[in-house]
Amino acid sequence: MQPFEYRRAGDAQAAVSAIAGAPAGKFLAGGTNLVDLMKQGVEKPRLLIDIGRVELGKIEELPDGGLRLGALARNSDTADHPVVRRRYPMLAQAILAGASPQLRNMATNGGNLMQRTRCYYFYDPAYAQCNKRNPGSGCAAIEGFNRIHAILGASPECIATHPSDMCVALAALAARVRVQSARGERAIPFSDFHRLPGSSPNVDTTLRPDELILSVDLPKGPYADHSAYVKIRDRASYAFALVSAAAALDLDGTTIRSARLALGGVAHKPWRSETAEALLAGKPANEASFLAAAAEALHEAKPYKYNAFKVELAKRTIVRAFTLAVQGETA
Amino acid sequence: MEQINTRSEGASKSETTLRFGKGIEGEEAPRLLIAEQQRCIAKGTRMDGGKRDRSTETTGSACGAQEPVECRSGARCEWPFSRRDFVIGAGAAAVGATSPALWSSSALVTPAAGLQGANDLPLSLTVNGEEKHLNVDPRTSLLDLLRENLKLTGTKKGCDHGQCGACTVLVAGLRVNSCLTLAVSIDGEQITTIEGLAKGDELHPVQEAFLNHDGFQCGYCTPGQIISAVALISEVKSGAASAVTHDLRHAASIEVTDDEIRERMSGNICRCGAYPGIVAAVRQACGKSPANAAVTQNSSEDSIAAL
Repeated sequence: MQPFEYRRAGDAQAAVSAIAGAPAGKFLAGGTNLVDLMKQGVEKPRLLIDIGRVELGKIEELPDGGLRLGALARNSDTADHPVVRRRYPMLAQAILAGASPQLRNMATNGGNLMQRTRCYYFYDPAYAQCNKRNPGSGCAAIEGFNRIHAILGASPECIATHPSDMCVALAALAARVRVQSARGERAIPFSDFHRLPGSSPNVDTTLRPDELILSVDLPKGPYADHSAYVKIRDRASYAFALVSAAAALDLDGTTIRSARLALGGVAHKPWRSETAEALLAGKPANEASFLAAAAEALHEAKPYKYNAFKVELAKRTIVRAFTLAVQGETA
Repeated sequence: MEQINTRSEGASKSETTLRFGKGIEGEEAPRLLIAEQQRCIAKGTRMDGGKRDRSTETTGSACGAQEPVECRSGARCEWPFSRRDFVIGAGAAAVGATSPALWSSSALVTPAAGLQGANDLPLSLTVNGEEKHLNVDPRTSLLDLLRENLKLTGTKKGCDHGQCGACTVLVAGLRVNSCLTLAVSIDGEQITTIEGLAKGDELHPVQEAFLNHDGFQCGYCTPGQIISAVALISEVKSGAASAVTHDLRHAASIEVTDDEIRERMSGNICRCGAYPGIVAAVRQACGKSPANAAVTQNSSEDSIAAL
């Protein structure tokens, strides 16, 4: 691991001041991904600003009926927060579907958003070609073993996927990410937070290098009664998603008032399909509607040599998730 | 228990046993020693119970003149050098013979672990109830700090990437992967490792349960499994849900089914595939938590007698 200077920030102001003058600096929170990438030689920060003791660990209700998830609240505490479990059960499910109890005890909400892809060609510097790690070097995955890679929104430069489960639920719930820098605060809609690779796959998010995530804010929503997160992976637990779906319905009897749908494991970002959501509004909550929504969500899918199975798998996962959402957890 | 006897019958596998077996007469010797080995695995200690003063040991050569070591079972060991001593000795020799840069590039240990450097930072931790004050390179993982600086080698290094769980320890009562924890980031915290579970000879109920149910084969992942199971019990008590918990919205208490145990233990990989024993051990431990573990001492003796 490359040597680095270690500093500990006492509050958010100190953290953003420290990063402002250090372009090669990184914030350290739970460290579950960053420390690993530093061991791999993928990340080489000159300065680590430990924000682990900054007071951003609260989960609090907002006056408008929403919920504020502190950036430094642990994933485990977030999943088990009574308000999260009662009003946003799909988010609790998604968090619990990811990683292991040990990792969820370390990982923070802000850090979860900042996870980097688990594309093996990105993670292993022995591969020279990776536009995300080394811009301009090419993409080893496009012609390589691309079983875990993207089928939506990829570019000729990069076909990596975003690895998070939590973020898929946050995308479906239309969360907002509150961030701070020396210039002040701003809020980023969740669908704008993560980027598609385009011609600059080295940039994962629209968070600027000098910005600190303060919280992830969940809006009040009508989806608590009918939502589900379904994750399909190579083993029963403790593996990244091949495909996952966060599906939520607001039902008027058996008719869909509105729907939310986001997919994981298929794109460079948590993939919300607003066209599929629109298709479901006003339709009966049955398999035919869900099949139509699934077809819409995947109609632009472009598989690669080893991941063609993901297209059909994603469609079936969507239908399954909506079917479970209709039943509701109390059924 | 039959499985254990079978193991001692194989010619190659009994070799280790026989080496340690000097001094104990009769057929019982290998069995007692295996039972002792298993106890050591569950405790995260060495066959000598970790009682040797490492600071006075010579580790640089395989000096046959060193005194035989007393094993806790009373057996005398003619081969006082553990594999670990040998590795340390060989490493020291390599450093002497080549440049320090080679040592720094070692993939096995954080480069700076155990070595004094200009960038070292002061660090205070309470490890198994003992206060420790150290200076460490900021790159040092908690895992390397425990193993290399504090010589608490019960915590194991498996993958070193947070994928296997062998390095699991408790920080402030929560289970974490010590391989991904920078030691400097947890300054001031309370750490519990496998060595901190037993009270003297009295094993923690989870350690007892792993012995009772043969929850291991080679034993390498066992300290992590046991620490994870200890945390699992307190998580269940606090009502923490898992991915297989039904009805997250209304689940007030957790029913500890085998599915729940498997999901909650899924961060600890066992390459020997001792999972049936591990699940059985955790099941027992969940019904016999530290608060009502009055039978601990007896079941320990029973499990050895049953061999």
